[in-house]
Amino acid sequence: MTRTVLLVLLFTSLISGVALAQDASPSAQEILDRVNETWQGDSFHGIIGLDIILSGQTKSHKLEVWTLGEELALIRILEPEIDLNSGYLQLGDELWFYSPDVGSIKLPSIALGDAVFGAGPSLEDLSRGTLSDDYDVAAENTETGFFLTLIPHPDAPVVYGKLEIWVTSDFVMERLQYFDQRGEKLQTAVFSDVIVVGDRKFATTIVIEDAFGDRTIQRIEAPQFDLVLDAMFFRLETFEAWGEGS
Amino acid sequence: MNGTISRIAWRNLWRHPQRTILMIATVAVGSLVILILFGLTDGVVGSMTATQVDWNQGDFQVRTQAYAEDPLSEHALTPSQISTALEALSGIEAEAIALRMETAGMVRSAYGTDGIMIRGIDPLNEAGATSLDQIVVKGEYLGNTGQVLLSTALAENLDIRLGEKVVLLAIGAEGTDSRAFRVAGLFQPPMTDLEQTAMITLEDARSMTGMEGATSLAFALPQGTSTHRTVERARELLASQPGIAVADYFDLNPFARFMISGSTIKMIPFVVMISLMAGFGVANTTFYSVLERTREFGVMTAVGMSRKLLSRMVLIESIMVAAIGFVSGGGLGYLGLFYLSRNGWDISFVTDMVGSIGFPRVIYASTSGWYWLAALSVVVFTALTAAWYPARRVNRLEPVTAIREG
Repeated sequence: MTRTVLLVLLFTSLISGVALAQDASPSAQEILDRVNETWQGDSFHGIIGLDIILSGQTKSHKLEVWTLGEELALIRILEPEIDLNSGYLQLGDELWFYSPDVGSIKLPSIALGDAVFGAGPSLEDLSRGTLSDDYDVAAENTETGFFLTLIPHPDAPVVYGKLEIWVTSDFVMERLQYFDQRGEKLQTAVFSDVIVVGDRKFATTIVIEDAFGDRTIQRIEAPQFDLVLDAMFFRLETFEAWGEGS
Repeated sequence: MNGTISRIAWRNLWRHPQRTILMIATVAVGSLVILILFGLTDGVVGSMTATQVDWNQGDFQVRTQAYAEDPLSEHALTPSQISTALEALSGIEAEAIALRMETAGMVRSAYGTDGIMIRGIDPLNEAGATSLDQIVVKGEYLGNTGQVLLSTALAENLDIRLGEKVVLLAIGAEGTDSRAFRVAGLFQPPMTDLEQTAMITLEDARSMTGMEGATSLAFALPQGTSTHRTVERARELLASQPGIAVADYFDLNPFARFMISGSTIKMIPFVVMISLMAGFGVANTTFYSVLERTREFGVMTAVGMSRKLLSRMVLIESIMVAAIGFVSGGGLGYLGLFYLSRNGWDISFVTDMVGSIGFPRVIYASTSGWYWLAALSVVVFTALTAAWYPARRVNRLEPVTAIREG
């Protein structure tokens, strides 16, 4: 569960919206930079439904998520019922778990590393805009946008052999495929149900499917961007307040 | 006279060969089990020690007191502490001294992630101290920075192949650091707890943890050196260096200390149980053979044989059975132990289950002349005690009643 929730942390930093700008014929590097830009967000609030399908069994979660910048994130679990009002709080490199029954527990900072680590460095790189530091990028034009091939540098801390990214002409990522070092496909992330909020354009559904057929489906409801959030909101007392309120 | 009695006793025994063989077998199995039990228990401890010392830890280690209490890379020996320690211990004749920088971390392949220990080593010294180079079964031994050695088990779990890239995440003094490493070789450790250790160069480990120096200095002593005395001497030599501690095998393997403490005493209930079983087996049969011969004994007393001699005869019968049983059981037991001490007993089916508690995969039995004594004293003693009642019965025999009864 921890890892899944942390995966959400990553994705929320990815979905912060897309500027509707367009360039005539950008270079591969420019396309990548544009894609990167679209991931950079300031603040976000939304409800995320998460269906995890492991060997045919589906587990559903519903989470309410707030993020501010890259450092602060708060996740409140709404479903399943048994975990209601439990949550996670990320303050920079520190990570806390809160449960109404046991109170707050500081998770070892490696848990954060684990999630980032486990979720795939390419996504981390996307969210932090460091993708081009680790990969050589080549671009092709397609009918609907661009097709990018990313090959990691030999000494880059990336375990994949290759990434393939499909991007629309307005720089929304449509599909991301991971290949291992032997050239076999590992995982596919498909971004769909693109909606426009204000001047942003983003995918509200992300389906990640691995080679074994296990899937994670993430749906974002009622997304809000660039809302005013107080940094003081991101603290453990917030969890306790929810407990008292309900 | 004794000779005659012994001859009669011997003949009596073989009047019922099956019964006698059964008694001999009871004593033999008893002694055999006790022997094997002692040999294996000592063997486990011995193999554990030898495996850890030879392949993993060295004979003893020097590290900081803080690291002994909390093994974090930030508690590493500083370069100046290392040179002080090496200087202080220069009088100790070591085969090799391996500097290591260890930290907890993770390894990631495209197929998964696993928690590991990351051990930064100086390839040359490490080969001298723990023969790590000899257990590399695929690829090559560690040579350059950017390379990593993984265990075959870990590589299998995470589907990592030789030459592929993995990412190691190390916990250092200031957070974590992830880096790419090329799998240069795969090693197959003789015990499971080294399976979750990734070997990289000391240089890489230092730069990943942001620490200079080393978390430990592993000393390998030449064959035949008394580890115990050397450790004592090293402790004396380093006594003036606050914060630097010498850790012997037991400090490094608290579990072994727990296992060894009172291991002989823990064996006593088993020895008593086995002895009782063998003892009662013999007593039961002897008693039956005496009952069966009541009339015969009555006749013998009637014609002038003293009851004392008769009971001695019964005793001698038991002693013969016990002696033959013990010699054959003991012989077989020692043959078995000798075989196990040479070829070992593969217990990887157990070690793979219990994981990293320092058990070697193969247990080599220990053969000490001392086990004879354990098996001898107990089995013979019990068999004789158990034979005492039948002999006593013979001693109280009334000739006339006996003849009538029978």
